[in-house]
Amino acid sequence: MKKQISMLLLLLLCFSTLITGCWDHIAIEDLALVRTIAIDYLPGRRAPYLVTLAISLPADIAGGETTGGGGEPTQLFSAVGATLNLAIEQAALNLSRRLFLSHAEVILIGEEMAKHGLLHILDFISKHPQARFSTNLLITKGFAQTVMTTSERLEVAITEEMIGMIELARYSPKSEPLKAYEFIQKMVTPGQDAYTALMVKSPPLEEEIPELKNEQKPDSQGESSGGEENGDSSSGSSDSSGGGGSKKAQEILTLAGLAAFQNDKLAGFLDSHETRGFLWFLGRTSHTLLAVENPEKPGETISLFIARVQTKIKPHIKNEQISFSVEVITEGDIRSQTGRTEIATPEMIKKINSAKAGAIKQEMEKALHKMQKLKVDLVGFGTILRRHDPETFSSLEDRWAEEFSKLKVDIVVTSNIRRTGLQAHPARPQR
Amino acid sequence: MLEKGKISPRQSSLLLIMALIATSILLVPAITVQQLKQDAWLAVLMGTLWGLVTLYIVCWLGSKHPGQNIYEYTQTLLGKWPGKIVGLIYAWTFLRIVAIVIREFGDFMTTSFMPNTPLSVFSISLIFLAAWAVLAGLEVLARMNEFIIILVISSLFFILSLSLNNWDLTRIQPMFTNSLLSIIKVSFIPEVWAADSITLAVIIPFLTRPRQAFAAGTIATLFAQGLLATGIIAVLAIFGPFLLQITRFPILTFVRAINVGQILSRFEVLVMVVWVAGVFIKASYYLYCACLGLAQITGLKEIRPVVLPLGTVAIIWSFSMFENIGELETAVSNPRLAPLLQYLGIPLFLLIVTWLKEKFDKNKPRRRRNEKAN
Repeated sequence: MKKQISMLLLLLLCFSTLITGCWDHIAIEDLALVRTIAIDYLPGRRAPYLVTLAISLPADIAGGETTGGGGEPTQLFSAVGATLNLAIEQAALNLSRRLFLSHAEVILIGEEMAKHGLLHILDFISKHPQARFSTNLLITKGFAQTVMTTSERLEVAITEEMIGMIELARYSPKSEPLKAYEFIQKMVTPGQDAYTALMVKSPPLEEEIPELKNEQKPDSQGESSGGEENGDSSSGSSDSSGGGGSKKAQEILTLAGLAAFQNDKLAGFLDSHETRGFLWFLGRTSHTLLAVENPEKPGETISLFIARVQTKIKPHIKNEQISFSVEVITEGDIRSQTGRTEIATPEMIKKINSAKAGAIKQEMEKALHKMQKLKVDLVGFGTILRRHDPETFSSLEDRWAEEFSKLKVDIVVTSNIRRTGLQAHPARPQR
Repeated sequence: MLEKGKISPRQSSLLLIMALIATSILLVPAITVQQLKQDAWLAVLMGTLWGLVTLYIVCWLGSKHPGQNIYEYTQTLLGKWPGKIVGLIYAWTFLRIVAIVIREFGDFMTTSFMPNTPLSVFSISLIFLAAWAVLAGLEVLARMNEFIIILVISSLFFILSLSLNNWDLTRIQPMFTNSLLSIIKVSFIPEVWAADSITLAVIIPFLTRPRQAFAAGTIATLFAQGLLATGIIAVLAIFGPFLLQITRFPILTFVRAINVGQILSRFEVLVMVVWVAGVFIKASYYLYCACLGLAQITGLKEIRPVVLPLGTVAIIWSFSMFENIGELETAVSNPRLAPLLQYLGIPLFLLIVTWLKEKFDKNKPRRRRNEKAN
């Protein structure tokens, strides 16, 4: 009996430890789910890190209601601090819930921050137990904070909009967003420089094409737009939000181009054409359209669809002289032409093939030239050399950036056009 | 005999697999990649070799002294008191491993999952369970392990297979850039070295078929180290050696990076399963070895009185051994002389003594015949 009572007491003691719960327990209703973190750098300040957190309210997303005054599914909270952690702690003072970073899928980094260097951000991501190592890193031109104020178009929140773009970027070689761990991997690997996609905020097309603008002038005001022709910087956003009720076209986000880094610092930007030129080196340019001039009739354009790409890069070392050969094999169809030339003949296809190969080679050389000018080895020629011949590379490792900038690269492109679509012959008008 | 239960060779093999894989899967990738870059997996294969050497010696000793474990045959070989001292060294080693394992477990949980929870919560709850398991005896421990190992191994295979589409094997090139000497040096780090087979020296007498101990141990060592080498190749193929260097728990980072079609992601909980279950078995197993040793050396009738005291010692030891994670890391990532002696030196010495005794002791054949008659 005595033993049984003591057992019972022991059991009660054990269960009492269970009901206290864990130290780190927190209910989901008390969490503020951070979806995007925008980080800007304000040079010359004591607290230079400007952090903007896009916090989504789970209930609103589930309900899908967007009407009403406070119905915004995403709320922005900003704060400055001497380090990222301090800035986030500061921002948390404005919140009624506890911050939760595990759902932050996008980290937007302002241009100034990227120029200053990403070491602190990457350190933050890899040390923080909540932060995801697979967060997407995006660089913005100008301030990252202003990108966050763009209003969403197709999705419920701006973060979802950006995630959608990042997902789609896989199908178009105009940018190449990297996840945090991929970025760090490229940064720490010798003979390889890091890059990630560029998120650009620009005014809508009607403000860039004068004819369209004149057409629209009578019915909408549009007077402020003259000053912001270059509109990808900060000035645009305040106008669009200040516009209020009047029907002014919203500014749009574009995921195009690359930000190239030397070590952890921004070295320069590649525009979307250069980006594709660069992606040929990685063989990641399938599902894209390429325009070449009709070899028979100059002035007419033929659009080609690239279905498959294969790229092989090989290093060659001859008398201490290092060169690389790049072999690109592409396969694809013809999609359309602006004229009415008979295309589907073997001779014509042969000519188009060589024109296409020439265009690809030109694009690649342009991108390579840009990378060599910036001294960023985004392709990882150094890594390829290291795998091939570790000793030669280790003797060059310290001055690889210099070595890369005058590297000789032979590009050979083979093009195969297989099909010309459903139409056998072009439709020819009578006259 | 202190232990009345018997386990089958298969159960001993599974126990050994758990002891080998439980902590090494989290720590070894970081340690080896730090020093050998993309050749890290070679050190693991090399460590397997040393592990098999230890295993062979241990099994040979076991077959020469049937019915006795290392605490007993040291006394018959070296005399009563020197034998007891060697036995104490082993009990001390096993207890130290319990302490290190508890500390690694606590530090892993606090750094990656529950930063606000004090270390003692993990240590005390783990040792409480481990002591309970030890009191239940070896047979219960082995049977429980048969169930838990399914969880652990299937989680590991699940994680590895999910990551397959991200593998890029060019990242483990160039191969063989490190000198053989540096690979050998890394392979002598206790964690890398498959030295857990030394525990077979304690449990061989409790096997239903002691002759099969070597086969069971070999299967366990090859399987566990093979899995570990695959794990290292997997993390290398995904992150490359230079990114891996900066991570503390590469397998965790690896799992954090898994994202199949935006749906299958965040499998940290599986790492937690591997870690908690594996560490629990490993800590119980080693605590059992230590307790049995102390009980046998001091001539106790049963193991019960020493379990809780040794568990308490292990907890306090785990707190006081390392001030911070930096010290822990340095301690587990460098080859040291003491483990080399414990896992290879002393067994080798015992082997030589047995061999010499057999050669010069003329009474030996008669005694063996008597034993067989019994």
